[in-house]
Amino acid sequence: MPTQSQQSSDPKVPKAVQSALEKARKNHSELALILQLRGSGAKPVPSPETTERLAQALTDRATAQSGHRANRMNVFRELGSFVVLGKADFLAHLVAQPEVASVKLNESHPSSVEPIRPVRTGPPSEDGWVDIDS
Amino acid sequence: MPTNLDIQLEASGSASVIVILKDSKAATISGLKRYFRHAETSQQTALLESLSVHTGGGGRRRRPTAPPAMRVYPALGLAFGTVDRKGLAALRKEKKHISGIHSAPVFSLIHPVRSAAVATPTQKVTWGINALDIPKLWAKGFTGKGILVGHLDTGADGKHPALKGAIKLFAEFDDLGAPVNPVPAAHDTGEHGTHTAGTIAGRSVAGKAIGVAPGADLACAIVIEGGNVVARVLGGMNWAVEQKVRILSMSLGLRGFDPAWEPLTAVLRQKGILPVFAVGNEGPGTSRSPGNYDDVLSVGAIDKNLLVADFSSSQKFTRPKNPLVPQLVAPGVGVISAKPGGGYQEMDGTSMATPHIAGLAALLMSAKPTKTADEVEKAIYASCQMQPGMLQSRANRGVPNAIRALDLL
Repeated sequence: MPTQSQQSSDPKVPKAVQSALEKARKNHSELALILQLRGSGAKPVPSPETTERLAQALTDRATAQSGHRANRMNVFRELGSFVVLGKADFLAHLVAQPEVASVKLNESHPSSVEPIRPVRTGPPSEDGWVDIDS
Repeated sequence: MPTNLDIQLEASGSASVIVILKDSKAATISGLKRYFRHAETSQQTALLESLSVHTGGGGRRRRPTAPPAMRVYPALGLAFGTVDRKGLAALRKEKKHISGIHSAPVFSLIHPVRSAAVATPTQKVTWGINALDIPKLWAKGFTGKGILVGHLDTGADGKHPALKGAIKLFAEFDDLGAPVNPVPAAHDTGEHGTHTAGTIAGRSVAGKAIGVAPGADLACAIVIEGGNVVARVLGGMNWAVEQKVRILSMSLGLRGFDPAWEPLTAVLRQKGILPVFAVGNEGPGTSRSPGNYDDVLSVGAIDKNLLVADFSSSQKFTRPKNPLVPQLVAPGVGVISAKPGGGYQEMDGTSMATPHIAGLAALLMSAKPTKTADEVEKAIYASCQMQPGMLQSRANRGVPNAIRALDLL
């Protein structure tokens, strides 16, 4: 298993992910992480076929190393990324794989991805319409 | 005082009219048909053909040999036909189904039929549509027809009269970004998505137009609210790419700069998809990702006086390409659009500005189908103008103009 120092020195693993992994390990809970695979040359991400193959290969590798499996996984073929729900030990091995370019929490709290909420909502006003003619 | 229609009826016994419908229900249409009589003149045939070509209302490009008594253009909320004095009187009584009756334009050989036909009847458009000069593209017959626009938001109410027929594809994604099966009917988990979808491609209803590209198709997905997790958005983006959208409109983002999504916008670009994203509502010195990336067409908000809204985010980065965001500004204050369950409501936000530009891009792509996303974006940028009192640090290139963008494309 990657050591604490190995994890923290890995620039692709943000502090928030490290903390979440530690917390999940301590609580014996599961965590969902999003992994972005490395592209090559002019390609920002691997092809859909390579993405699918790599996602499977990397989770198999992490399973062999940690003894744990992914609870659930979803591959974003067109985007060169995948999301995995699993135990912290399994995930720590997974994020350490060299084919992984970056890691992100699939977090669900207010600072996560959110709609850019309107600053005001109200009934339509008459001056919101304009008459047009030929 | 006699109207133009009355004078025309007096002179020839019949008149061509454009009727603004309050609804396009089959029962309404069949009820109104009895007031029309068959058109016989070549001018009417030419006009019918023009409307068909520009709106898809007739669905055929062939010259119709026997024009129907009445033709309906649901995307425009219009019907066209010929009436006699009795028919006109009867139509005028149908206030429940009709909001206006106008004399159809009479075309000569000198004036192009195509450009006048669509915009002829008086109708109400939102101030934002007017500010971008969008009706001038409609008048040329460009409605966004044939262009699929990706729309990732809280969903969209597919039963709203303005969105009926606009949502071609719909999907919902769970917390790990997997599609929910069976695919639910188009609905909104909030009201944000119905509003933004209406601005992109809402159809005209009863003479009121809220959609910039009323002929475009939407691929709408629920990716936000009820679980604001990254994987849902990725699931939606992945799906949008698979559906081969030409434009992706997203009025969502992570606060601050987060480079984690950069490969994804690069993928969109590589696949020829124009990413049109909101910049954020946190004011000067702020922005959101992915709206603040250098390869995204990011949009800030202006009000009716064409001034940048106080809440509109703007930020300068130390990078060579597109260091300043947003790339441009668009109407985002007092924007009227669709409300879930029916009717309209106003909203303020860069979320409201963004679909204006997604719709504009759809119009331009329908006008010049062979042009790439990069070329369309370039034309939009080149069409922008700073308005009096506007600061570059807040508005960047300024406000785009539809007709100028078309000329530059």
